Amino acid sequence: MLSITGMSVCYDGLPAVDRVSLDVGDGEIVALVGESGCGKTSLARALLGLLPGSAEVTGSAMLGDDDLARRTDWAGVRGRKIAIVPQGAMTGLSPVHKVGAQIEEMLTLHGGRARPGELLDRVGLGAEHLTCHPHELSGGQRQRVAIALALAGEPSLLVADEPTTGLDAIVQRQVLALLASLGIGMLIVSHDLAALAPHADRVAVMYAGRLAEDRPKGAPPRHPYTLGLLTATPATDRSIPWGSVPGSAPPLGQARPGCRFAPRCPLALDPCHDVDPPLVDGLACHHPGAPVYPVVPRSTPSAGTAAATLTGIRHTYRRRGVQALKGVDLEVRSGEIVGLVGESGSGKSTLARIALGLIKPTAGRVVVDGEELTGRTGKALRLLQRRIGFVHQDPYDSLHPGMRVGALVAEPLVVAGTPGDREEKVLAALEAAGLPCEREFLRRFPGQLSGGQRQRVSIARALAGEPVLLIADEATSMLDVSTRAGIATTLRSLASGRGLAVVFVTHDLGEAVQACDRIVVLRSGEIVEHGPAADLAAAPAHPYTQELLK
Amino acid sequence: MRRILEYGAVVVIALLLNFLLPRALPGGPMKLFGSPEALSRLTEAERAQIAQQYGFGRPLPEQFADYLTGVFTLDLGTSLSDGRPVAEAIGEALPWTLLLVGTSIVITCVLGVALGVLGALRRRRGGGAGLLGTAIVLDSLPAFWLGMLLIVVFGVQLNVLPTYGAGTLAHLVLPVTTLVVTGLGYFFLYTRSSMLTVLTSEPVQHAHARGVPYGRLVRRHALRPALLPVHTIVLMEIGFLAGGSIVIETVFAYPGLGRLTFGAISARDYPLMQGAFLVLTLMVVAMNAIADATYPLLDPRARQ
Amino acid sequence: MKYSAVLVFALVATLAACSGAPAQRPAAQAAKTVTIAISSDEGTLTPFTNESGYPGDNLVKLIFDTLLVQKGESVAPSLATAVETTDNKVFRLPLRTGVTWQDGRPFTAADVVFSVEFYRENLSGDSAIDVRPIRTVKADGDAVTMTLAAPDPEFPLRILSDMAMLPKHLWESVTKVNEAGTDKAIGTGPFRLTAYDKERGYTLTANPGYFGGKPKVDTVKVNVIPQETTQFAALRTGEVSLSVRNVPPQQRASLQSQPNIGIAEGTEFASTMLQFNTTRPPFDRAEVRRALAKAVDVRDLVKTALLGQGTPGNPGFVHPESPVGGPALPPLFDVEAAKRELDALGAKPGPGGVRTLDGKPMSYELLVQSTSTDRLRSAELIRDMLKNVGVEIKVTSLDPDSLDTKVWPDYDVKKGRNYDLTMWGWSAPVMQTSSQIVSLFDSDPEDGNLNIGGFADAGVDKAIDELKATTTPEKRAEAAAALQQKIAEQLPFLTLYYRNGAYAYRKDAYAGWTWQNGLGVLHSGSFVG
Repeated sequence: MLSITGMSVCYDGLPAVDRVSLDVGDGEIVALVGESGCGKTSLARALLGLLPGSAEVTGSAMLGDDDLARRTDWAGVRGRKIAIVPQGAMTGLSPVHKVGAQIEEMLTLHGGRARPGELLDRVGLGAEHLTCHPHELSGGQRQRVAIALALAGEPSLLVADEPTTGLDAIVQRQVLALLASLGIGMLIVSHDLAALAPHADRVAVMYAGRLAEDRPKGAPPRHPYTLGLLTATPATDRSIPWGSVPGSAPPLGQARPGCRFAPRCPLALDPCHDVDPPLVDGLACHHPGAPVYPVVPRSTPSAGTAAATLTGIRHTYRRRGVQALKGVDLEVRSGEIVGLVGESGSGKSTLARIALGLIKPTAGRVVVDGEELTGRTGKALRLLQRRIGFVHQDPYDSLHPGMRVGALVAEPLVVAGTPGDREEKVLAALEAAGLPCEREFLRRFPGQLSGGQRQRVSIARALAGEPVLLIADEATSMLDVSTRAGIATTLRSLASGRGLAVVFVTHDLGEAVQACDRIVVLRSGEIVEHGPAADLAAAPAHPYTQELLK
Repeated sequence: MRRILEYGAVVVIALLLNFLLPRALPGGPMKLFGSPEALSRLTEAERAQIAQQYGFGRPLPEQFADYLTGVFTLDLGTSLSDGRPVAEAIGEALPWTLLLVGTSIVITCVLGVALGVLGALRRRRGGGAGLLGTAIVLDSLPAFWLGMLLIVVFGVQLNVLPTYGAGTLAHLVLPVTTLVVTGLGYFFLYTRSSMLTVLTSEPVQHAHARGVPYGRLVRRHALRPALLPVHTIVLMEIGFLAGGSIVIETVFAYPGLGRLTFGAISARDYPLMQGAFLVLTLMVVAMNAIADATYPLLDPRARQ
Repeated sequence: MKYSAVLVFALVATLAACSGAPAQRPAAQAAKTVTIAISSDEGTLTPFTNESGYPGDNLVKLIFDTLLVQKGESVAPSLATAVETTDNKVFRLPLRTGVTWQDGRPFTAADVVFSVEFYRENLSGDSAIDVRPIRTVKADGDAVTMTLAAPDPEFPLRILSDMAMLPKHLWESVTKVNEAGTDKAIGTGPFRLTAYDKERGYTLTANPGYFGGKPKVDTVKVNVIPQETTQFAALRTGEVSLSVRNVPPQQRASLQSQPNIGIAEGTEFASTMLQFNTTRPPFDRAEVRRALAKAVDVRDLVKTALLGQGTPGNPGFVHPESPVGGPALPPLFDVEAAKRELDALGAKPGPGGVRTLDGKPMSYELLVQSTSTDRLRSAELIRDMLKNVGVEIKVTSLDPDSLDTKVWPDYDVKKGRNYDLTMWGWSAPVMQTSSQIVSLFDSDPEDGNLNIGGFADAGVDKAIDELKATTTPEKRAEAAAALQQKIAEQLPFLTLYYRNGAYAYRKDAYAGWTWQNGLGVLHSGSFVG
C-alpha cells in the first residue's frame, strides 16, 4: 500500500534520512525504531509533507498511485488518505475546544462518515468524553482522543510518531494494544524496540539515517545494533543482564563512510569502515553476529551506615489541596543504590525534593549524614545541602549553555569556597563520572556534548561537592536507550567505590531492578512494596507491582 | 470570597497610599488661599484657622478616618480650590475621559490586534517587516510631540480640525488619533508576539498535521489562544487610561479626568486628588476583577 | 518635554514659513465675540475664588469694579468720583450715583462699608485685599469716609484701586469664601458672568447699563488651554483672539510675521533677581554681596536670556517706570572692580581657580525653578560670569514647590531658609507702591513679610521708618529714592531684569487692546471708552 523507495531527506544538504526503502502493506503494522536523531521522525513527517522549508525530499513514497514525496498540495490527502498521531499528541489538542467539537471538525474537514461517539468508542473512550475539554482528561485519554482525531478521516495509512512517550508504563501498553487492534495500515515510529516488538508485523531499525534491519515478526534480530538496543532495554528479570552500547550516534552530517554503526560495533572489521553495507534480505551488515556489550555490574549488598533517613514524611500541596505523600519512611545507607519507583503522581519527585531540602514537608523528619535537615533554614540549610548531590532529569536544560564544562563542575567548589587546586578536583570528578579526564574537555560548552555526556557532567558536578548522598531524579529518562545502562554503571561504581548512597528515582521498574540494591515502590503517596531488588522482581507481593512487572 | 477579600485589601492599601503620598509632596494646599505675597501677611493663628476650616490642618489619622468614611458614604468632600463637591467635579470630567479613552481603546485594540495578527502571519514577507518597523517607531513616539504635530498640520496648516477643547466629534479626532497612534504599537507588538508563539505551539502544529487548512487554522485554532493574553492587557489598559491621559488632555485642553488630576496635584488640592486617585484605583481594580472573572470564559483551562 | 517643545517650535516655524500668507483682514475696533485663552481654571471669578493674580484678578475686575482705577502712574475715578483728603489719613470718597449691581439692585455706600468689613474678616483669596491699614469706615449719604491708622499717601493707588466692591445683599450670607459660587460673581463691572463650566470655560456678556459706557465687545469667552504651544496654535487658526501668555522671546518673530496677528507690548513690573541668603556666611557681609553683584552683567542677561525683550534691573529694585519712581541708579557691572574687591576681602584664588574666603572655597549652590526657561538660562550665564572672578556656582534646578519649601517655607519668613543663592521673582504688585517695597527689606519679620533672604540692616530699617513717617506723595517719593539708594549699596539681592510684556492677539477679531502698566491688556480699559 505504502511503498517508500530510496527516500532521502536533507536539511541544508545534510542527509538526515539516507536512501531508505520501506513498504507498509495493507493493514500491516510496521514499527520504525531508532534512537533520537536517526531520521525516523523526518521520514515519518516527510510522508505528510510536514517538514520545514529547509528540508529537501528525494526518492519516492507511493501511497496507491500517489507519490507523497513529490506532492505540494496536501488538501484531501493529509488526514484523509494518510493521517498522523503526532509526537507529544497529548499536549497537542486544542485547549479551548471540547473533544466533541474537535472530532466534529475532523469529520467535517475530511468527510468522515462516523459519528463522534463511535470514534471515541473505537479508541476505548465513552461518549461522555465528548463534552470534556482536553485538560480534564488524563494523558492516556488524550492520547486516545488524538488517535480518534486521526481516524476520523478514515485514512488508509496511520503514522504514529512516538505514541507512548510521556505515558506511564501500564498506559503505554494499553495504547500500543489499542493501535494494534485498529486494523489499518500503520507506521509506528518509536525508540522503544522492546515494547513495540510484540505488536508489530514488521520491525525496521534505523541508525544514522540508514535502515539497518527490516525483519518480519518472529524472525530473530541479527544486526549488532538491534541486539545492542535489545540488551540496553532493562528487563525486569535480574538474570537478563542490562548492557549499553558505548559511544554515541554521529550528529547530522558527520557520519563516516562505510557502515554507520561501525565505530560503535564490537564486531566491526576493516571493510565495515569503508563499504556501506546494502540492505540485503532485510539486513545491512557485513558481519552479523552476537556482539558482547558492557553490562551493569551486579552489586554486593552493602553494610554501610545510614546516609539519609526519612521518617513519617507527609506532604500536602496546600494550594492545590493535593496530598502528595501520606507517611513515607525511607533509609538509604552508604554504598547502596535505592530505587524509588512510581508513576507520575505517585509522589516520588516530591519525596526527592524533600530529601534535598527544597520542600519543607508538612510532617516528618529528614536526617542527612546524622544531622537533621528539616527545620533548618538559611545558611545552616545550605551547608547541609552541600552534602547532597543532585542530578536532574533534563540534561539539556540543567546545564547553563554559556558555561564551560570546567566552570560547571567547579561550581560547588566555588560556592563552598573550597581552597586549593580546583582543577585537580574537577578532573577527578570528571573521571569518576566516566568522562575523558582531559583539560581540553574542560573547555567545551554543553552544546558540544551528547545527552549522555551532559548527564555525566551533571554527575561530575554533584561529585565535586563530595556528597554523601546522590539523588538522581529520572536521570536516564531523556537519554537514548543505548546509553542508559552506562549511566547506571557509573552510579554503581560510585556506590561501591566511594561508598556513596544513591537514590535512583525512576518510573521504569526494569531499570530499578537492574540498577538498584533495594527498591521502594510508591503509589499515590504511599509505599506499596519495598525490598531487595532481586526478591521484589522475582516475587512481587503487591498487585500493583505485579502489574508493573508484566 | 477569598478574591473579594484580596481586592478589598488592595483597595484599602491603595487608599492609604492615595492619602499619604500627596501629603508627602513638598508644599501644601495653602497657596490655594492666596498668592504667596498675600499669604506671607497672615499670622500663625490666621493660617491655622484656614487650615482648620478647610480640614487639611487636622491630625492625619483624623483626616484619614474622614476620608475612609467619605469613601464608603460616597461623600468625597469638597475641592479646596473652588469649593465644588469632589464627586461633582469628577462626575463632570469622567464622561469626557471615558468618551476619549473608550473611543481610543476600541480603535487601538481593533486596529492593533488586526495588524498584529497580520504582522505575525506575514512575518517573513516585506509587509510584515514594514509593519513591525512602523509599530516600533510609533511605540516610541512621544504623545506630546505627536499631538503638537497634528495640531500644527490639521489645525493650523490645513485648518480642518479644531486645535483644542471638546464638545463635537471634530474635537475628538486629533486627541483620539494621538492616543491611537501612540498606543497602537504596544497592542500590535503584543498581539504579534502572542500570535507567533501560538502559531508554533503544539496544538496549532498538530492541527496543521491533521490536515486543517491554513485559513481555518488561523481563525479557529490560533486566534483565540493568541488573544487570551491580549484580553487581559486590554482591560488593564482601560483601567489605567480611565485616569485620563494627562499629556493628551493637557495638549488638547480636553476637559477630562487627567487634566483635573494634574490640576489637583499641582494645587495640592488633597480632596480632589484623593477623589481622582480613588476613581483610578477603583477602575484598575475593577478591570482586574473583570479580567479575572472573564478569563475562564475564554480559556476553559482556567475554569475550576 | 523641553526638547519636545523646542522640536514643536521648530516645526511650527518651518511650516509657518512655507505656508502662503493669507490675506490680511482689517483690524477690528469692535467685536461680537472675543475668545481669550488662559492657562488654568480660575474658579468662580469672585475676588475670593480666582486662582491666580494674573490673569485671574484681571478677569475678576471685568466683573467687579473698584472705587478708583489705576490710570498711567496715578488713579482715576471709578465707583468713587473723587478722593478728598487733607492729611492722607482721612479719606472722603463721594460715590457715583445711579450705579446698579448686575442683578438690578442699587449700589450704595452700605455696600462699600460692607466690603471693607468683609475683607477684614476674610483674609484668604488671591484678590482679597489687606484692609488692616483702614481703621474705620463710615457711610455718610452718598459718600464714605475711611480713616487710616497712619497717614499713607499711596492709599488710593494701593488699596482703593485694587479693592473690588462686593454686593452686600449677596455676600453677607457667605461664610466659606472659597466656596462662593458663580451666583456671587455679580458686580457693577462692564461684564457679567453668564456661563461657567469646567469644560467650555467662561462666558462674559457685556453689561449694557455699565456706567462707563457700553462695552465694545458683546461677549468675551474665556477658554482654558494649559499648553502654551496649543494656545499659540489656536491663535494662528483664529480659534482664540488673545492669549494671556507672555510671548516667549524666541517665538515673537514667528508670531509677528503672521498678517492677522498683532502683539501688544509694554513694560511690566514683575522682577527677576539673584537672591542671597543673607543669614548664611559669607552672604551676611554686604561687601561680599557687592563684589559678586559687580561680576554679573545684567545687560547681557537681557540680551542673551530674553533676546532683548526686557529691561535690565535697577540695583535699587524698582523699575524706573513704576509708580514708585525714583532715579534709575547706575549699573554695577565691573568685573575688574569685582576682582579687586574680592582680593581686598582676602579671597585668594585656590586650586582650580576657585577663591578661598575665610578658609572655605567660594563654591555655592544656586537654586532655580525648573519651569522657567529664562531663569534657567540666566542661572547658567551667572554661573559663567562668577567663574570669571573665581567663584564657583553649582546650578540646581528644582520644581517650584520644592524650591519654595527651601527658600520660603510655608511662605513665612519666620520659618527660616535653607539655601545659598536662588533665582527668584516678585509679581508686579510688589513694586506698585513704596509701602509694599519695604516688606522686602524690613528686618522685623512682621513688617518684612517678603524678606526671604533674612536681610537685616539698621541703616535700611531707619530709611524704612523715615519712609513710613512721610505723609505727602512728594516726601514719600523722596524717602523711596533714599531707600533705593541704600538697597543698591546693601544689595540683599541683585535685581537682574524685568521682562517686557508681549501679548499676541488676532487683529481681525478685536484690536482695541490698550496697554496699562501694571495690568497689561486685560482690563476694562480695553473694552470701554
